[in-house]
Amino acid sequence: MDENIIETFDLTKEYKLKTGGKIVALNKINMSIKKGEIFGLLGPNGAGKTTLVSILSTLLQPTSGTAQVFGLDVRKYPNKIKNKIGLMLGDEIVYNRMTGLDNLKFFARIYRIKDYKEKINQITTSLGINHKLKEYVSNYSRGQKLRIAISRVLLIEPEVLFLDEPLLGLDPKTTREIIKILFDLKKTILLTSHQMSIVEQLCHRIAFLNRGNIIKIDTNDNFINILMHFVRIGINIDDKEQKKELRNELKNLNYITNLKSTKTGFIISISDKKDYPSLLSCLGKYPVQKVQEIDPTLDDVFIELSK
Amino acid sequence: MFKKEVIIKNIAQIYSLIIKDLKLKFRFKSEFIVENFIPFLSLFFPFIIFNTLFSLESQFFEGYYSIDNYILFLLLGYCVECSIFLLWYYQELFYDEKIWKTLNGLMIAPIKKVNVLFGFLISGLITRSFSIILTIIICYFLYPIPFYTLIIVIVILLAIAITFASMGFIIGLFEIVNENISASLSVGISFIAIVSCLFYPIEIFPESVHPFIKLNPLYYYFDLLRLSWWAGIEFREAMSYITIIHVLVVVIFTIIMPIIASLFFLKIYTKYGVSGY
Repeated sequence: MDENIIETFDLTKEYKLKTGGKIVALNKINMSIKKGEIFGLLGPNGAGKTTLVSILSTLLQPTSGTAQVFGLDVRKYPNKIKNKIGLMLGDEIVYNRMTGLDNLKFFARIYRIKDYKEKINQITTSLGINHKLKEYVSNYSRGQKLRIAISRVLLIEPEVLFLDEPLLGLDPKTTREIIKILFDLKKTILLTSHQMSIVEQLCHRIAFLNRGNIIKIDTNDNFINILMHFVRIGINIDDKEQKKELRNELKNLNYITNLKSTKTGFIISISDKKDYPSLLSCLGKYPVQKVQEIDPTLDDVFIELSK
Repeated sequence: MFKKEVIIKNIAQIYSLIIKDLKLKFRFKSEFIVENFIPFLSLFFPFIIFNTLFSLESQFFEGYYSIDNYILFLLLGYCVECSIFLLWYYQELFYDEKIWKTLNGLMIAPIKKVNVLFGFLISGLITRSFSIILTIIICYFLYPIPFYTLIIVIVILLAIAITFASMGFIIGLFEIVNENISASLSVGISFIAIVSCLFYPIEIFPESVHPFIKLNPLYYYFDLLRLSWWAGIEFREAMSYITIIHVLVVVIFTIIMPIIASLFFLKIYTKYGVSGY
């Protein structure tokens, strides 16, 4: 897993605005992905994830900087790159007005895949979608559509897969099944998501992207370590006067990184679990109904990582 | 340059695009009736107008339009009308693909843009094939011509379809990139198509306008189409109207338009990508 399959050097993409300004969708991105690696690109909506995938898959051209896939410049050799990559944009790129089988046949013919009927049968059987192939895709559930979208990508046997939000809106059971399928592929994968839990389960390395900037790139294990220390807590308190007082006291605690008022109380973030006892002793002085740990949001993690 | 493998690959890609497009288009079969019979209505008014004019005087216009051939020319105009929709066809297709979010599947595939152009062109012609074939049969029955002349006419009809498709491909490109430009182009090209003497002779316009009409390449296509069929009946008369400019314009534009459209598509699409959904 030493050879770099994907590399970017100061990759920048800007969009001009009608008002005369510009939006920097990607700002001097430098990253590399090794052969066989599953690389997660994590970020909120509008972070630049899809723009990055679009450039790497030759759909868009960068404003400046370079990107290489298999050592080939995406600007100069788009056709050579296209032959070796598979792109999945959620359940997009699947025609609802055609059957699943017709969808797969269409792409198999476009890519000139030999013995495609046998391959379609093999792949769809392994993905558990074979029984739906003769039905119109418009009748599929989202999970089934995603399976057809994955079948399409696998059919062309790409060396690298670009998967943009591949598991968005799926139920936990289907999510687990598809994560297993992707993991078992043993391919180089660039996966984007704004769901931390998915990236955590699947990726070897993760990059946090926000407003076109990479905030941090690290191994999955290191990110999990950071998140383990990071705690988000919901506090319920009814008494209005006491709530005000508690708010003032919490504001003065230097280990609280974020404090938000809610209808029922507060949501706070602390950067390390070692501060838990001190917090609990503070809360003990007030008529607090409930203290509950909440999964950190992307915003919380960004605030933490941006420090 | 033309390896057998490459040719087979390109044909296979065009074939798969045709099949895909037809399956999408005829998901509901009534579409076929709409595509093939509604355009017939466009013949109705020109027929009444010309019938009235030529009943007043058999040679109402100067030039080769007369009571002897105006029905043929209207029917040939209708054949062209059957492919004129190609000007807006790509706009509709790409708009649908944009909304369905399937466009990137085509763009990421290692497929030449010229194959996309021809794939959709052929599928478009197939959707109107019933009308086109029926009209040619009627023309052949009413105004019989030698077989080789019929082949020439069909080749010119294909040249017209290719040119329309190339223009339509550019409009379609802007439907993806910037719908404002697409709309403006659509209006502009519609104007060019209208001022091209498709159903009527150039003589219907004031003489002062003729030089402008003669700047329109489509005028030469339609004129050559009519004259080619007429040459199968009145060879000398027809040939006296055909000029080298007719032939050059048709040949050159038919060859360069698909190339320009494909290159333009590649350049603009990769630079600006999809916008507006």
